[in-house]
Order: sequence, then structure tokens, then C-alpha cells
Amino acid sequence: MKADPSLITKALRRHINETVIVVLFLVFLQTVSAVQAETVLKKASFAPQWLPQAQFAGYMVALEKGFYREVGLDLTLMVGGPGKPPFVLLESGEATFCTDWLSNGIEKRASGHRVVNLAQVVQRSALMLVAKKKSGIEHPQDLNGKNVGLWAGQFYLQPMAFFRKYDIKVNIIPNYSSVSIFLKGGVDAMSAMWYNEYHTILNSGLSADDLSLFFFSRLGLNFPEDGIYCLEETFRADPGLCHGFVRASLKGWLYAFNNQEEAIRIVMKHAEAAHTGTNKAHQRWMLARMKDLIIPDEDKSSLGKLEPADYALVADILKDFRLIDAIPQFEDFYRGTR
Amino acid sequence: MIVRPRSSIGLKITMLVLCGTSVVFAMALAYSYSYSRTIILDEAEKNARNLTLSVARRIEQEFRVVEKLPEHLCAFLEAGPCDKDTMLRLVRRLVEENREVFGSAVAFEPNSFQPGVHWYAPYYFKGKSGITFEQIGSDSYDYFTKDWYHLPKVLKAPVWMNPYFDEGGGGIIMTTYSCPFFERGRDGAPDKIRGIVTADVSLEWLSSLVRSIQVGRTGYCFIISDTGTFVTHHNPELIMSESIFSLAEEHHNPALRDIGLAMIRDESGFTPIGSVLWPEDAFLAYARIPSPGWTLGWVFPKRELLARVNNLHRTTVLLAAGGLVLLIAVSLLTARSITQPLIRMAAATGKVAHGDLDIDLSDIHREDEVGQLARSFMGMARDLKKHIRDLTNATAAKQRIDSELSIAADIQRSMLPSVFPAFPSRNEFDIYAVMHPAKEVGGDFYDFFLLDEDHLCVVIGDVSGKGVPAALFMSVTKYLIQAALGAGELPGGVSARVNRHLAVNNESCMFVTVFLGILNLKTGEFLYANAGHNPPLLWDSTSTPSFLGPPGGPLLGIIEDATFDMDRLTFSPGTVLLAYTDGVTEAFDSEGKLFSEERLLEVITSVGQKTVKEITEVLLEKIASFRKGAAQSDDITIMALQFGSRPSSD
Repeated sequence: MKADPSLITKALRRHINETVIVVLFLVFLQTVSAVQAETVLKKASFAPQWLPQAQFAGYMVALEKGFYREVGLDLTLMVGGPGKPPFVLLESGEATFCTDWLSNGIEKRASGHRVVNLAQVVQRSALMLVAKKKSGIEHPQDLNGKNVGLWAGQFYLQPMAFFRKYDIKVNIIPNYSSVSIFLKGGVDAMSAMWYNEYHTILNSGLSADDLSLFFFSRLGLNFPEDGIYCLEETFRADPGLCHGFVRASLKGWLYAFNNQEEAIRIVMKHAEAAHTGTNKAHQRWMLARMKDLIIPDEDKSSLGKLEPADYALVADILKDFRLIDAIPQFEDFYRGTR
Repeated sequence: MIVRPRSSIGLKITMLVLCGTSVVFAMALAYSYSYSRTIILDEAEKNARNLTLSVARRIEQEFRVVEKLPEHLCAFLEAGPCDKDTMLRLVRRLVEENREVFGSAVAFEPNSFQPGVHWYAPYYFKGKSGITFEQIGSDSYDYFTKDWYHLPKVLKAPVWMNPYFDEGGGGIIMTTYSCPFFERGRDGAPDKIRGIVTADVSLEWLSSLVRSIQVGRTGYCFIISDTGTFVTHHNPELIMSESIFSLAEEHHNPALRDIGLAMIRDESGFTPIGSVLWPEDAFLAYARIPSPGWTLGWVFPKRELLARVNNLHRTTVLLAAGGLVLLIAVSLLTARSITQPLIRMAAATGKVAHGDLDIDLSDIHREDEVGQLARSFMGMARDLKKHIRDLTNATAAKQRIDSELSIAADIQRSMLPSVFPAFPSRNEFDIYAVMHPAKEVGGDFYDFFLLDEDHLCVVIGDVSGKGVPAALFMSVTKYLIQAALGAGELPGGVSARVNRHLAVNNESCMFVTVFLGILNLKTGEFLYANAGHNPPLLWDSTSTPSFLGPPGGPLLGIIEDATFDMDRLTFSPGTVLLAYTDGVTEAFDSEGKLFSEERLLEVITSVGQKTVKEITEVLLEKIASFRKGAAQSDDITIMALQFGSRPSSD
């Protein structure tokens, strides 16, 4: 989800821009040939909420395997990252579709932004607290009085609800991105994504045995995460386009889960183009975790669906924390498969 | 003689020597290999540890030098008020005057530099057109959220940041040393943080330094950060992308993960790492660089390390192999030098067996056992040859003697009357005699002849001993008896006279027993003298056989002046006198029993009315059947005389 911001530099952006140009050019070529071959493809762009990594493997694979073209879409995959809030890109028209957390979506909708959820891809929350056993943390109560590094924004929500639920007083240290603060002993515990930072920690010299893990999904705070969003106007204007994008994306995900090594190759291609400084082992772990999160308990029936109960849980907590005044209607918010 | 190669002694000895030596060589080589390997590995480990430690120290020094720069600036800023121009000049000089430093910033907390100023962070760096200035805080670059600022602030201590790819420097790896400065309380203890001083350091020098370390022919050095991420590596794809832990995961190699853990935890180490960081089996030596807390690793292939041992080993093996070949040659030659004479001797033995004794082994000039054997063998052949020659001569001599003896026997036989009936014209008596000598010639004798028309002289004698001497003595005795009879002596006188002649000059101490009688054919008067001879048997138609008792005398040839009594009998017609020598009574059977006088008497008693020839033959037959094939030990002589008219059948 997050990466060391020091990597995201001007030069990097220049690279990204070059990449985008190349991609656009390739897309242009494809479009030309597609136009000659079949009906005109509809142009669309997609803004993932973070840097290219296996968190978005399904979309990358769908693009690579031509699943978007199959549904009549000429899709541009944008490069996400810090400083590029997807909903801003959506409203500015730079992106047709984007992904973001459910909590973010509800908050946007509640604050008057006319965004709609087309599919809830990540069903289970990957957010967790990782704590050092060396700091004496084994149970939630052990966190009392400890330095806990938390990311700002939506990432705050579950930890705060968790602390409130267990009546824990912690010393919150803002963490802006990396795991260094945790590794170097600046904090005793930190928020982490199961598919990303947790594995980074494991591959930075700490072992699972050294760590206590608190999964919010298992602590009654399962916030569904990445969902597909677009503007309500976009949906109204062309529901077929929107459903097509969702269908192709989910197909991409299933393909990625069934062909992991191929998917990893595709992801690595995107990651290397964006100089994210990652490695296959990390992306392989991430893709495997994405499968756990997108198809929890191997149950494909709820693939991409937003459950009203999950919606209610997240919205209630948002309201509790006064982040929203009123809970938007589920039917207005969610336009995906039921 | 053909010897199959497999059974040749030479080959056997060679094989045994070869096997034994090979085993000894192999053991010595194995020990030498393992020992030298241990030594070299130990030495290599020591060298590797020393090298990595010394390089790590050198790198650390470079980092320490850089650390001092922002630390001094912090100390200066903490010391008291500092105007903006001085501060900017100091930062600029820090970048300008230190070749290691790419850029440096002094980033202040909000409102700390100047009330109302949220971001204040002057940054000097080595731009394309020289030292460039930039204010780095802005809405789009909120430095408070950056690790380089946030981390030292949280930790309240200077921090070396994780290395990163430089944005403007064309992919150069950089790292930043961030040092916080504080408002100091009265006691000098840090109170409230005011800001962070940074020094950006290009790690180009580090990469070049690590690349420049020539480790062996093919080994290489690399550096991992405190999270195990590759900072330098000869494979650029690993740098900043992979960590030693991600490699371990990628290769499903938990051991590598453990090695990684040890590398970021321990001061230094040395360990085999298999083929993860190298295409073949390799070793890893590592040492921590305490500042910035990274680890220098040195990978070198085991093969290269062991090349010296293997070279040494190869040479030793070659020498050993050469030695073995030499040994085989020497052994074969030695064996050959032993077996060649043996083979020749074996061939010679074959010749000898076929009777060819002309063997020459004189060219086997050796002082050892083989030479001894050859000499003995030749000696044997020589002796054998001599022996055969002697034997041939002896055989010839014996043949000559045999023939002479045979002649002597003929002569002896001719001396004894052997034609029967001896006096075909006279029928007033019958006489029959046989002499069977034990050897070619015998010492027994008999004789009978007519002294005149009416007197028949019968003599039977037995000379002591057997063979030629006895025969000669017998001839003399016979001659003397005839001479004495010729002089008109009666039996007693004959005995005395013969005795006297024999006893004189009898150096060989031979003697003879003689029974001599003179029968008056007209009257039947029988005068006789017995000189030590077996008593003859006498019977007639009215009496049973009985031994003729005394008179007698001593045997002839011993006592010179012995006298001999003479007796007188009168034979009635039909009287039979059977004289014999001790060859009859002393005939042995196979169990050593004597025929004895009793048995003789018994045989004669049961013989019935027979002629003298028949009686003799019956007796001879009984003796032969008694002997049952036992060799005749003594001459057997029987003479039978019957007085009275001869049976008309003759």
C-alpha cells in the first residue's frame, strides 16, 4: 500500500511520465488497430490508489491479457502513489475509475461528493497492528502506554476504534510511510498492511516469532478496503461501461490468482517501470494475501460484492467518530452486483 | 614349462605390493588432503574475517567523518543564536568543502526558525552548475512527514537513513545522515527539538570501494543495510530491490535467512552459504560497519579457496601414481629376477625327470636363497649323475660277480656227485643226495664214492658261514678228506687229520662239521665218525628211525690236536641212513619257528617204505611246505643211503 516516499522523487515522476507516454503510445497503436478490427473502443482511465504493486495485480493482468478490450474498453492504467488522491483525480476527470478504501468512499459520499462504489474488491481488512514482543506486547492491553506509530487519514480509524473498544491509552506517533521508525525502535507497534509492511518487516530481519499481530479484521473491525469507484455521472451515462470495467477487473483478479507467476511477472514489469524498488518475493507474498482478502474463505460467490452489513459497520464507526454526519443510503452508494 | 600369468608369483607379489602401497598411499593422501584443507580453510577464515573487518573499519571511518559534519553544525546551532546568513554560509561550506557530501539541509520545526514560518529548510546541494540553493519545504513537499526528518525527531538521535536512489543524480545511491538539534535546558540536556541537520552522501564512493576490493580471482564484496537490503552488489538488479531475506524467500532457503539475521546482528562471521549468492558452493565472510549499521559481506567460491589444496592434492596424487608405476616396475623386475631362475629350474627339473642330467644353471650368479637353490639343484644333478655312473659300474661289477658266482656254483655242483643212480652197476645199496644252497654257492657238501670194490665212503659236511668263503673252505675240506682217505685213514683218523690241516693257519676262524662213514658193502659194517655234525637218522625194517648217537668229536678247524672217536655199526639189509645238515632242522617258517629234529623224526617215521630218492623228496617237500614261502636261510643238504639190494624197479 505504501512505499518509502524517498523513492518518489522528481526523477521518478519523470520516469513515470515517460512510462505513461510510452503506455499511451502503445495504447494508441492498439487503439488504431482495434478501430480497424472492430467497433470503436471507449476510452477510460483507471487510477489505483497507490504505487504499482500486487495490490493491483488484477487490473494490471486484465490490461495485459486484453480483458478490458474484450468489454470494449480502451483503458489507461495510471500510476498511483503519494500525493495523488484518487477521488481528486476522479473529480478532475483525469481518471474514469479509481480504487479506494470503503471508509474513504463513504466519507466522500457523505460529504457531498457524488462518487459511487461499483464493486467492493477487497472484502477483508488487511490493516493490522504489528508489535514487538520485545517491548512486552502480546495482548491488546499490553499496548497501554506504548508508542504506536499510526498512519494518518483513514488508517487512523480502525486503530482508534480498537483502542476505544479495549480501552487502551497509547502514545500515538504519526508515521508517514516507512517501517524504519518501527525497525529502528522509534515505536513499539505500528499500523501495517498485512500484504505489504508486515512482509517488509519480516524481510528486514525480524521474524514472525518476534512479533505480536493484531488483525482488525479479527477484532470486530473488518473494514473492507479497496473498492472500485467512479463518479455517479459516469455511471448514469454509461452503466455498461462501468459494469464492463468491473467484470474485466474481477476476471483479471481471478486470472492472476490462477496464474500467479505470470501475474507476478506483469506486476514486476509495472513496479520496475515505476522504480518502486521491490522484489518478486514481496510481490508474490502480496498477491497471495490479496487472494485471501478478495476471496476470503475461498468463497467466490461474494466476489466484488459489498455486503450491507460491512457497509453499516464502517459507516457507523465513521459516524461515531463524527467523520460523517449522516450515513449515505446504501443503494445510492453501491451500484455493483448484489 | 608354461606358467599362467594369473598364477605367477611375480604378478602376485606385484599385486600385493601394489594393493598394500595403494592403501597406504590412499590413507596418507586422504589424511594430507583433509589436514591441509582444514589448515587452508582455517587460514582462509582468518584472512576473510580480517579482510572484512578491516574494510568495514575503513568504510566506517568514512561514514564517521561525514557524521561529524552535521553533528558539528548541530552543536553550533545549539550553542546560541545564529543569524540566517551565518547559518546559510555554514551549510554551503559544509557542502562545498566536503567531497563526500552531496547536499545538506537545516530543516526547522514549524515556527522554530521564525514565528509564522511553517517550513524553513534551506538546502544546498551539488547541482549541475555548482552549489545550488533550494528551500525544500512546501505544501507539496511536507518535510515533516519525511523519514529523514521524522525519524531522528522521534528517536531524538542522529540516524543514518536507508539508502535510496537519488532523484537527480542519475540513479546514484544516496543515503542521508540526519542529526536533530535541540533547545538545551539549563543542565544542557536536550529539551525541545528545533530541527534537523542533514548530510546527503552519495554512496558512489562506497560502490567503487567495494568493487575495487579484489577478493581472490572471482570473489566479490557486497554491502547490505541494517534491514538486509542490498546497498552494493555486483548484480545491480539486487541493489535496493532485494534483501538477503527476500532472496532467502525467493530461493526457499531458510538457511540464508538465518545467515542474513546473523549478518545484521553479529559483529562478524564466516559461514558456508551453498550456491545462493554464487553459482557454486561458496563461503561468506562478513563484518558489521557499526556506523551506519550496515554489513559488509565477502563471497568467495569454495573451489577457488580450495584450489591450492586441490593443486597440492593433484600433484601429490600424480606423484603417488608415478611412485606406484615405478613400484610396479621395480616389483615386477624383482619378482622376475626371482622367478626367472625358478622358471629355468622348473624347466631343468623337467629335463632331469626325463633323464637329461646335463643342465647348466651356472649363469645364475646370486648370493641369495635363489642362488643357493640353483647351486643345490646343480649339485643335485651332478651328484645324481655321479651316482648313476657309480650305479652303472656297480651293476656291471655285480653282473660280473654274479656270472662268476654262477660259474662257481656250477663248479661246486660239479664237485658233488649229482647223477643218480650214482652206481648203476651196483645194487647192494642205494644212495641219493641233494644240496640246495641258500646263495649261489653253499658251504654244505656231501660226497660218496667207493674206496674199493667193497667199501663205500659217505661224507656230509657243513662249513660255517655261507657263500663263496664257505664254498672254498668246503672245497679244501673235501680235498683234505679225500687226501686222508687216500692215505688209508679210517673215519676217526680222517677227522683228526683234516682237523689238523684246517686248524693250522685258520685265520678266518672258519670251521666245518663233518659226518663221515665207511660202509662195508659186503658185511654191512659201518664205521663212522661225527665231527660236530647233526646226528643222522637210522632205521631198518625192524626199527623205527632214531638219531645216531655218539661217538662224535668237535667240529673241524678249531682245536688243532683234537681227537675223534670212531664207532662201528652193522647195517642189516634195508637199513637206511639219512644224513642232513642244519639247514633242515633249522629251516624257519614265516613265524620264525624251527623245523626241528622232532618234526624231522616225525616226518621220517611216517614216511613208510620208500626209496631213498622218494624219502629225500618227501622231506624236501615237507620242509618247503613248512617254510610257507619264507626265504631259505641256510643251505639244505640231505643224503640218504640204504643198505641192501636196490629195488628192482630202478
